[in-house]
Amino acid sequence: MERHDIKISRNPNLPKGYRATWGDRAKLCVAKLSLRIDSTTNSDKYSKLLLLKGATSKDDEFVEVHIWGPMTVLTMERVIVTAPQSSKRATIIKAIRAKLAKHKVQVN
Amino acid sequence: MHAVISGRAGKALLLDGDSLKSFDADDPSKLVPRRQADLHYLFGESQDLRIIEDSDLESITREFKNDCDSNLALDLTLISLDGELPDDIRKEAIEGVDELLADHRVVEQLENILYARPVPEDADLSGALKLCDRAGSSRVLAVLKTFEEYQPLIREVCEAWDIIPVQIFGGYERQAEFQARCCSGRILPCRRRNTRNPSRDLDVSFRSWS
Repeated sequence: MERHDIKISRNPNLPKGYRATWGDRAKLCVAKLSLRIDSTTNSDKYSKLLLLKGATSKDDEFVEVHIWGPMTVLTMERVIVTAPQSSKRATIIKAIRAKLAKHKVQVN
Repeated sequence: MHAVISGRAGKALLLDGDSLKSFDADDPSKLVPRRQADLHYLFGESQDLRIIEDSDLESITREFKNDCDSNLALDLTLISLDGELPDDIRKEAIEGVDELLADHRVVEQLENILYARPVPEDADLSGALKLCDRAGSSRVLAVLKTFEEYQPLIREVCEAWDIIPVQIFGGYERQAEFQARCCSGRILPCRRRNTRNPSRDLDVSFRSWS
């Protein structure tokens, strides 16, 4: 695949200034979005600033969050499930629902 | 045509000339055009990426289906062994695995993973065997019964594996990688049939790659 310049890496080569830790997320958002925020911008406008849909997915503008490090079932508050077409995969979803319900995680 | 497939992610990526397209395990007929930037997200954290070079769509789809079925069989088997889950879900999982085990490659790949380590203490193997019996799932019953019989040998092989100094592999990561490749059967399967002495076949396998 390298011969065809197809790179599948878990370490994308992002330019400086385009990535921050969770603790510094405010700095990243200021760097990216400060021109679109002024004293009249209310907090209910934030979600549209963070995700602006373009004509195609290629034109979408967004701030993306990646979760790193260990997660357990207790990390979740709510899980949204997209129903799979295969019945065997549906069994896996049933098992996940049963597990989540035991830990009082809401499933939609 | 070349491809990258992941049974765990349930995604296949096709590279044909300059064109990049992907398809999903649930709907192999629907080809989705892709860009290089999509690729990080297509496979997520899946560790089982497999590259197929100079092939055709039919062969790629066949290999992809086999990888997906093997992953599905493993997930459903783990559900069947989970004593915390209700019996109806475990029984449904067993029925699902039984269908998948009609393909001998799926049986082999499932066994390669199962035989890599002894069954954990909290797994309910005897409960799963009873449910197999109740569901009339003879293929799963046979696989799990044999798995149960082999537990002492699996433990013996794992103990021998664990005392190999990690430096021989060049670190813990390389050791894990080596073991994963052995289990996937791409170097050598963990479980090899010894027709002359079936009770020692795990032993034979271990000696051949240690």
